[in-house]
Parts: sequence; structure tokens; C-alpha cells
Amino acid sequence: MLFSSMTFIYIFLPILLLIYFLSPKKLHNTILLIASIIFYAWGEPKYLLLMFLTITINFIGAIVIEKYESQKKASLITFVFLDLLFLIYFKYFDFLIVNINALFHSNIDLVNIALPLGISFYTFQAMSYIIDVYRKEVKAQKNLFKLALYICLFPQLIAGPIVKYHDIEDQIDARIIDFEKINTGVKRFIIGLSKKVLLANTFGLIADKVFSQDPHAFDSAIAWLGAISYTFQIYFDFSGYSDMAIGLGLLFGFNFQENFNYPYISRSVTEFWRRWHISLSTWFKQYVYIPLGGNRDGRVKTCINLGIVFLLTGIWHGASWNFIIWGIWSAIFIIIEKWVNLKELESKPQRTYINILRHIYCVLFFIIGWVIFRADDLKYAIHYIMNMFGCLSVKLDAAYPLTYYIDNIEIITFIVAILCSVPIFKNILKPGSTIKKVAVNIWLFFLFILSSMSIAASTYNPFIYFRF
Amino acid sequence: MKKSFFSLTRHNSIYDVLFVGLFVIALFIPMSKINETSYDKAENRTLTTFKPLINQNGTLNYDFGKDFEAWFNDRFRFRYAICNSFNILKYNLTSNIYETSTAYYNKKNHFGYLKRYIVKTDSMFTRKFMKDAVKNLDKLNGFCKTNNIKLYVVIAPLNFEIYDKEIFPKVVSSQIKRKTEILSYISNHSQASVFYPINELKKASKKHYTAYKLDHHWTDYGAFIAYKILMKKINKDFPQITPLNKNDFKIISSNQFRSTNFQRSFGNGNIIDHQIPFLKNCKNEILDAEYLHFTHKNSTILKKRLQKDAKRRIFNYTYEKGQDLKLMLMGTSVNGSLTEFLPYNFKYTKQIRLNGTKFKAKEQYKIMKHYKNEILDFKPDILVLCLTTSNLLGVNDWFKE
Repeated sequence: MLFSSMTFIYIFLPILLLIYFLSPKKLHNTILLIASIIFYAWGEPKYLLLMFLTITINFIGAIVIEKYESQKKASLITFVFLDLLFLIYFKYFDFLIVNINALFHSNIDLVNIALPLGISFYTFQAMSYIIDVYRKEVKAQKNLFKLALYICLFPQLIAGPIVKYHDIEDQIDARIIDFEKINTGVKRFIIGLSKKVLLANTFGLIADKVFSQDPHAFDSAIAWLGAISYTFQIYFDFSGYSDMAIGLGLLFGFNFQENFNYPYISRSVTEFWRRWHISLSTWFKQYVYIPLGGNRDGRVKTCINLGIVFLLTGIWHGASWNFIIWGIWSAIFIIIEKWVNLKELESKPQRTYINILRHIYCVLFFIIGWVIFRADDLKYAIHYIMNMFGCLSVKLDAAYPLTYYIDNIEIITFIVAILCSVPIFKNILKPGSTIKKVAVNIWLFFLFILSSMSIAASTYNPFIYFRF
Repeated sequence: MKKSFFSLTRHNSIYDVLFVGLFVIALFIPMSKINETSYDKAENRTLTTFKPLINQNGTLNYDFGKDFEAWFNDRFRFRYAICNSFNILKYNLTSNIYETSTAYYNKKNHFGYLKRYIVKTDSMFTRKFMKDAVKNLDKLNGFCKTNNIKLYVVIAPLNFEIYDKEIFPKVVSSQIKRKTEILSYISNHSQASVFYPINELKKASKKHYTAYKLDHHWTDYGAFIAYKILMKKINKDFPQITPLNKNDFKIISSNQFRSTNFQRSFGNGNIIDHQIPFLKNCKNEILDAEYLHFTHKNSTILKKRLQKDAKRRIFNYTYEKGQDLKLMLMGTSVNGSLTEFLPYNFKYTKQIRLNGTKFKAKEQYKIMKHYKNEILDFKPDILVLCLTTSNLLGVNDWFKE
């Protein structure tokens, strides 16, 4: 079930809200757990068992780790290995086979396994729990259903943010739901929905039009149009979903951490990764980078550790060389910045033109990175990037004109996207004057109606060949 | 003091209370009344019926989620009004071409289907694809030669290719250039006789409409032009077959639309009501066109019969005054208007529709799998394959099992 679907917004959510708020508090966790299971099973009933298995394994694992102190390291390794085994099998197995076949000219058949929805997210959440228990940051949860609630809570189940157990442990048992949270939650949900439906989807159409063509078939301007469109699409899609998840969490009393903090205003790649998919980068920092030694063992070791982290970040995103190269792309810049001690440079006051140049540097980094991320394969990505910089011979006699890609709606969307990518509206939900409150409420309600209309309009599906 | 959940103290703005209240009320509106009709006039289709969680035989319906969504998406309250309002808003923000997921409307009063597949066809015509297309065309040609059948392949230009300047200024003309290149490659490298009569149809469209303004198909006049070109080629190989000319037909002019179905029935633009309902007001401008409709003077002698078949769509024509030869006409809806002309040249014609069958979409173009025996049993002298450029995407399926 998608958040941006008629069924979720106009069936699942209102019924759940009704049942939740009319029920006594002691039933709230049970209701949420059942709702989350229904949410997941809605589209993926056959993989429900896999999720239950993951929950059970980690439930047992945490208890074992806590109980058997002397063997806790071995236990941790075993249970983390089991978690990763599922992830590797469902997500990466065919990729491994394809590469083994390519390397050794073998003919191993692919298994063709479908990827269970949300497996990357809930596996990482499960691992975070078990590692937190190992580190004694939290106590092992003795109630299986509470652990299940943590792992499969529907707002963050499918697309994050990756919630760490120690951040949410107290909230499972005792969370406050008040009108202020509900108010903020509703508004946050609407903002996320609008970002996804009105902005991301519009940019997606432009990006698809460009990326579906051979890179030799359009000029640099169109190449940049496609790259920038995808840059906006991925940001508003992902951050929109995170906003919806955070908003939904607030409705039920949960405070999830922010996942995006205006990443496109960054002036370094290091800063970008502090603002982009924060839950993932902090997960890797806490559970991979720091255990590897972090920055404690000298510059060389730090750079190696960063390289490993970003390689894994790329791999996490998908079973394709594109994602791995994209991870390496980030790693290269992070390492360079670390090597030149950028943090120290940043701490000194900078001239405006230097800041502008730094911002341009970062913009180029992420736009090119997203081309690598989006492209069907590496060859396409290379040709596309070459086209962006005028280094590709193109055949334009059959090229689409600019009007094919953009009309008034797209131009308006671009303007709105630029404004929403910078923290101009950062404090929109914070208390203010009555006029501000009324204006914001009216505007948000309008966005909600517009987004809902867009979703509803997509269900209109007239039969075409009624005469043929 | 423990904060009461429902307390509306002065710290909670009434405007926020109103806002949240309206939001919650809005959530319940679409489900408050479900449209129970089975057929929707506006969309011209049967609406999805509800499928329960437990099937009639007691088993669990594992697709309940998808089924429920399809059902609710078809039946929520105010659906039609919401869709219409949104589309009107989108239409007013569009400067030139307004698109839905299935149709387009050019503000110069051309309307049609499936503009998006221009992008798809464009991306599919890679070098590899063209080589595979030539391979399969030659394979089909080889099969025909072995069985003494002469193969002709007509790639039918559609309305937005013929009227590119009116419909999509600058957009499609560049694509026609590319398609012409692609099809030239195919015809130059293939042994089969392949042609794409875009130039002839464009030239003829200066006199009369060769494609409809509210559909992508040829008019009878457009089909007649294509027929003449085809017959020129057929006449070279079969001199005994004389092409028909205009005198063989009763030609009338009207703004009505003629379908490519078996009945060749006339219509008056109801299609617009389904595709873009709010364009009812523009209907007169769209319908403001005179189309030539051809009816053969001996049409009463032509016998038409729908072949009984569980999955396929096959039509048989018998024309006693035709040449003692057999024609097999295979393709999609574009071959429909050719049935006003071709069957009158042959004693026996078998028309096979590749689309609109009971096969799944992936199976549609497996020509040899579904129709090889039909071809071998019928033993046509001539096989005319009439497809659009997007239909040609299925060429690699022709010999698949």
C-alpha cells in the first residue's frame, strides 16, 4: 500500500484513526501492530512470514546476547549474519550470479526472486536493535509484540526513516499524544504528500522522457534538464515520503528523527551527507564507521573506513553496479575532503564567492551522482555525463524540442521546487501570528485537496478500443 | 498537571482545530458513498467488482489488496467530479497539448490516443532491435516463400504522423524523420517488401483528410491511398489483379467517424465524451471536418463471416467477382479500413486481428504460435501484414513460443 494512494488516505488511515482514538490506551500498540501487518500484507502477503521470521530471530538473538554474556560476540555475529543472509539472498543473489557468470563464463541460472518490500529498511532496523542490546545501550525486549511493533511500524516500514531502537524504545511503552502533535503530524503528512504527488511525479515525467532516449539523441541543455529533473524527483520523492512517515508517526504519538535537512544547500559532500538520508548515514556511522575505528586511527585509516562505509551505502541502495559506482563516487569526494581537512577550512569565515564556488562544486557532485544512480547502466551514465559537458557527438536532426518536455505546469513546478529546496519555509509549522496560521492552514488544505485530486484523477481509466 | 488529550485550552488555536477537523472529515468523504453501478458511461467500461478476502471456494484471496484498490479506485464518491475538475485545471495550465494517460487534445482541435508511445517506440529502435527486426522479417518472408506466399508489409502512419505540424508542431516531425530512417533501414536490409507510405498520405491529406481528427486511424480516403500503393506492388507480382479505382465506389462526405471494426459502423465522436469529458464543449470544433467514406458498389455481394474461435479474431470474406486468389490480411486495427478495398480484389480474404484477442498482451504478437496452422490451412497467395510502428515492437515475438 502506498501512502499516496486513495486506499491508504481514504480507507486505511481514517479507519485506523477512528479505531485508535476510540480505543483505550492499553490497546494502542496492539492496534498499531495489527494495522502495520495489514499494511504490509496488503501488497506483499507472501513475504509477511519472512518479516515475522526476522522479528523472531532478532527477538531470540537479543535475549541470547543479554543472557549469555561470555558468548555475546559470537551470538551477535550469528544473528547479524542471519539478518544479512536474508537481505543478501533476496536482494543480491541474482546480482552475484550475473557477475559470477560474467567473470567465469559460467552459466548458472538466475533464481529470479522478487524483492520483498522494505527488506532493506526493516533488516537494518532489526540489526540496530540487536547491536544496541549487545552494546548494552538498551535492554532486550521481553515482549515479542513490542519488538514486532518497532520493526514493522507502518509509517517507516517501507521507505524509512530507519529508526534506531534506542530512539524509540521509550515511546513504545509511553508516548504522549496531544493535539499539538496531531496538528503537526497532519500538516507534515500533507507537506510530504504534496512533495511526492505534485513535485516528484511531475519531475519524474520529465526525467523519464529524457532518460528513455539514447544520450546521442539530445543536446546538452536537455541532458541537464533531465539530470536536474531527476535530482528534484529523487529529493522530493524520498523526502516527501519521509515527511509523510514522520507526520504519520506524530499522529500516533511517535517522534521520528528528521531524515532530510535541505541537502541541496550543502557546500561540501561531507555536509551533503549530513543532510541527505540522515537515518541511513547515522546508521552506518554508528554501526559500521565507529566500530571500524572511525577517525581515531589516523588519516589513512579514516579514509579507508569512509571508503568502506560509502561503498556499503551504495550497495544498500540496490543490486546494480550503478549504485556501487555511485557509492564510490561519494566516497572519493568525502575522502578528498577529509584529506584536505575541509572541516577546519569550513570553520573559518569564507568570502561570498568562495561559498558560491563551494556550493556549485557540491551541486555538480550530486547532479552527476544522480545521473549515475538513475542510468540503466554504466555506459549510458558515462555517455549522458559526457553529453552534459558537451563531450559527446550528438545527432539532433530527430531531437525533440524543449516544448516536448516542459509546458506551463513544469515551469511552475521548477520554481516551486527551487523554493522548497532551500529553507525558506523551514519554520512554516512553527507558531506565529494569527494571519500566518490562517494562511498556512488554508494553503496546506489547498495542497491536500490538490494532491488528492491528482491521485484521484490517476484512477480515471477510460476504455480505449471500444469499437476496435 | 497531566495534560488532557482532548482539552482545547487557549494554547490550541481554533484555526488549527478547524484545520484538523476538516482534514479528518475529508478523509471520510470518498468512502461515504460507493458507486454501485456496474458500467460507467463516462469511461465506457465495466467498473471493477468487489472480490472478497475469502474466495467462494473457501481459499484466501492473496490478491485482495490489489483487488480492493482497483475496486475502490473505480467507485469512490465524487470520483467523476474530482477527475473532471483536476483535468480542467490541468487543461487550463497547458499551452498547447493537453494529455491524459490515454489521450491527447491539441488546442487546434485534434484529438487522439496514446501519444506517450511515441517515446516508447523511439527508445526501442536501437541498432540491435533493428537487426533483430530484419532477421524476423526475413524469417517470415522465408516461411512465406517456402509456402508459395508473397509477403507485403505495410507500416501504417497514424494521424499524428500525417498531421504532425497541426498536432504536435516540431515534436513529431523529428520523430517521423527518425521513423523513416529506421523503416528505410529495415526495408533496405530485409528481403521482405516493406513500405511506409507517409509521404503519399501527407500529400493526399492536402485534398481530403487521410486520418481522423478524433482518432489515430486512417479515413477511408487514407486507406484508399495506402491501398493504391500496395496494389501497385501487388500488381507487379500478380498482373492479373487490377487495382480498384474511385469509380468502383460510392463516395459520400460527412463529419462522421467510421470505425475499423467488422461492421464498419459510423459514429459521431462519443469517444471524446469518454476520454476527455470536459471537452464536450469543443466537440463541435473537433467534429468540424468532412471525411470521405467509401462503400463499394457491390458491397451487398461481399459475404462477411466472423470465424468461431475461442481466443482469436478472424474474419472471412468471400467475393464471387474477385480474382481466384486468396489474400490473408493480418495486423491490428489499422488493417480494418483496408477491408473496404482489398477483399474486392480476391475471391477469398481472411483477416486476422492481432490485438483485441483473448490472448494476454505478451502473447499477442506470437504470430507463428497462434496463426501458423491458419496460414498453412488457408494457403493464401498473398499475405499483407499491416502494422503501425509501435506494433512493430512486437516483431521479436513473431517466432516465439
